[in-house]
Amino acid sequence: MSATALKFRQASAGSAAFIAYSALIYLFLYLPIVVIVLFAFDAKPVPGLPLAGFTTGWFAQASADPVLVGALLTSTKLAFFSAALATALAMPAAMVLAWFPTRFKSLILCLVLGPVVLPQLVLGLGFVSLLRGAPNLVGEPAIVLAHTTMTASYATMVLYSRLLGFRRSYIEAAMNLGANELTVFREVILPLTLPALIAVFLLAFTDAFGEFIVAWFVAGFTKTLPIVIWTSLRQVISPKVNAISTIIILASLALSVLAQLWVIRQARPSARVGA
Amino acid sequence: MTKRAGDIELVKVSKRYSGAAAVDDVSIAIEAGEFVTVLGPSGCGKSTLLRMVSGFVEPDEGDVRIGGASVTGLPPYRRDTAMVFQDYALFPHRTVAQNIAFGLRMRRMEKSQIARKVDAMLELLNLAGFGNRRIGEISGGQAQRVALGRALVVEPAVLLLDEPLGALDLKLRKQMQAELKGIHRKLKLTFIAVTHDQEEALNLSDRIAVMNAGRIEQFADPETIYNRPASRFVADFVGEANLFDATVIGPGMAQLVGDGSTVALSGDGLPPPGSRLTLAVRPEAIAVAATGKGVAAIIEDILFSGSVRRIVGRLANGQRVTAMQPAAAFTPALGQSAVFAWTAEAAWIIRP
Ligand SMILES: Nc1ncnc2c1ncn2[C@@H]1O[C@H](COP(=O)(O)OP(=O)(O)O)[C@@H](O)[C@H]1O
Ligand SMILES: [Mg+2]
Repeated sequence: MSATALKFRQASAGSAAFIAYSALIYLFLYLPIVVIVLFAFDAKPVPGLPLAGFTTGWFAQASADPVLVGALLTSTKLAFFSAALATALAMPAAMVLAWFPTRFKSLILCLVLGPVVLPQLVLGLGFVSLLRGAPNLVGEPAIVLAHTTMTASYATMVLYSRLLGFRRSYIEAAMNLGANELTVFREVILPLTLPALIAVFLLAFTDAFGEFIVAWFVAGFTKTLPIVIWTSLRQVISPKVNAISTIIILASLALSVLAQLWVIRQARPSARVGA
Repeated sequence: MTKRAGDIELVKVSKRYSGAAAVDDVSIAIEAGEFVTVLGPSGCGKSTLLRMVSGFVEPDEGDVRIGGASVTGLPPYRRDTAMVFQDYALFPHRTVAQNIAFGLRMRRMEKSQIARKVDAMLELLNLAGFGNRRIGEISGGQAQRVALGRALVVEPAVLLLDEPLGALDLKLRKQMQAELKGIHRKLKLTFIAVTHDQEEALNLSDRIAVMNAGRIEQFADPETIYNRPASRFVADFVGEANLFDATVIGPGMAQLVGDGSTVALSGDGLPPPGSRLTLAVRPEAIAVAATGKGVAAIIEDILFSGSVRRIVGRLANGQRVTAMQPAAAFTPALGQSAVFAWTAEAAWIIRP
């Protein structure tokens, strides 16, 4: 056998191993999701193997369940508010950190990350103690505030790192041509950072939507979707939960694909040439 | 638009960054319609000076005046200046035409009027037909012109250019120099450009401000700067110069320090014998001969470049002397002694 053929065989053996390894990683990552989707379509009332038969009935039952649907709507609404608030708070903070000379910058950056690295139990306990001072915030406002705190911290970091690469001369050029600070933000900063802002919003939304531990501490009588699922798990796991989870999985996949497509389209230069 | 006076005055302005002066007590008065270049090595404070006029840097001390009125403390968007940035800073999310229209939109001009002015500007800059291009779809030279057009279209009192041609290759740079000069002649606005390229400064400017370490060493027309440099730095930075330290020994006579050769001086009001001064002699003003009157040196290097020959010698005091000779002139041999001579008029006297 010639040396090149040997090399080729080694290379193809290597790449086969690589493919197998990648497949295993993806299996490991996605198996739980596959299982959830699988049981959403299985007729057996208590999820488990062997499969009993194909049905879409659980989807009908889930959408007829006022508690599940209510919780889904509540979670969507609260996550939307937290994500919007977190993005709105993170953007000015990131601009200051990235663009203004700041004393003790690395210390500030560490402190900003606090809510991310703190154990969520500790954070939850902290919120409980805080809410003793403002008991009528317990419930939806408290959940929104707690999730805003948690997501705004990494939203700030993500936007901060994006803004570090932002050319300051764009801002100066706009000011030089007569734009005041607000106009510069509207005309230059916002359009150029929109993809990052949307990415951060989606990240915060997904995080707030699925967050359970801290919400559990401050929810009062409010039922978010994770809380309802958790409560139902203590009785019988119904495939209705699988059905609603499947919908959420598909929705978030669709959302992220759409966002990616949008970003790609923004980046592509326009086809128009000349006038 | 009403005509505004575009004269600029900087009065004793200084700017320090953590103790070190980027601009150090600079005063300069620029007349309306002048093309002034600030010339100096990298880091000497040129950009800082320009940014004080545009309002991106506030001086620690001193006053900036545009058209006779102090603008110190005014934000950039309240100053009647427009700037061409070194990296152009064209908005990537807008087309060529939208970039040029930006300043007019900020001035709340009518849409139809904006369109007319943008078209006229595209025409002036040979960019007709490029209005709908994205910024990513034009060449470096075109981007340079769009940046220029975006600044010019608002008819500022002063146009500021920070190393405007620095990003272009040599050929394009020459072409843009001519275009820039033509536009200045046509529009008669005040132009202040910043560059570290002495040739660009000599070509473009009505007057050049030579800057060194935060200070302006000389502010004069290009010929004066070249022929009568006010300091060693200016003589050395603008063009090439041989700088000799010398002591006055008599009327019209001086002796090179550490060498002993005597050279003739011209001009009135020379300092009294015993005074130290510096002589600046351009290489093209020096003739090399085998023997005769002049300064003796050992030939170290001879470089032939087409029409001229560079001859480098070393004086007895160790200093190097460079002469630029027509290729046909006498050529000494390497390692031999030769005499470097110049007329009294060719030695420009710089007083300490
Ligand atoms: N924003 C700033 N912060 C700190 N130092 C600065 C700043 N801007 C300029 N400097 C310093 O001031 C000096 C002059 O800078 P600059 O005006 O940009 O020089 P030039 O344009 O002639 O190259 C440099 O030493 C530079 O490091
Ligand atoms: Mg500079």
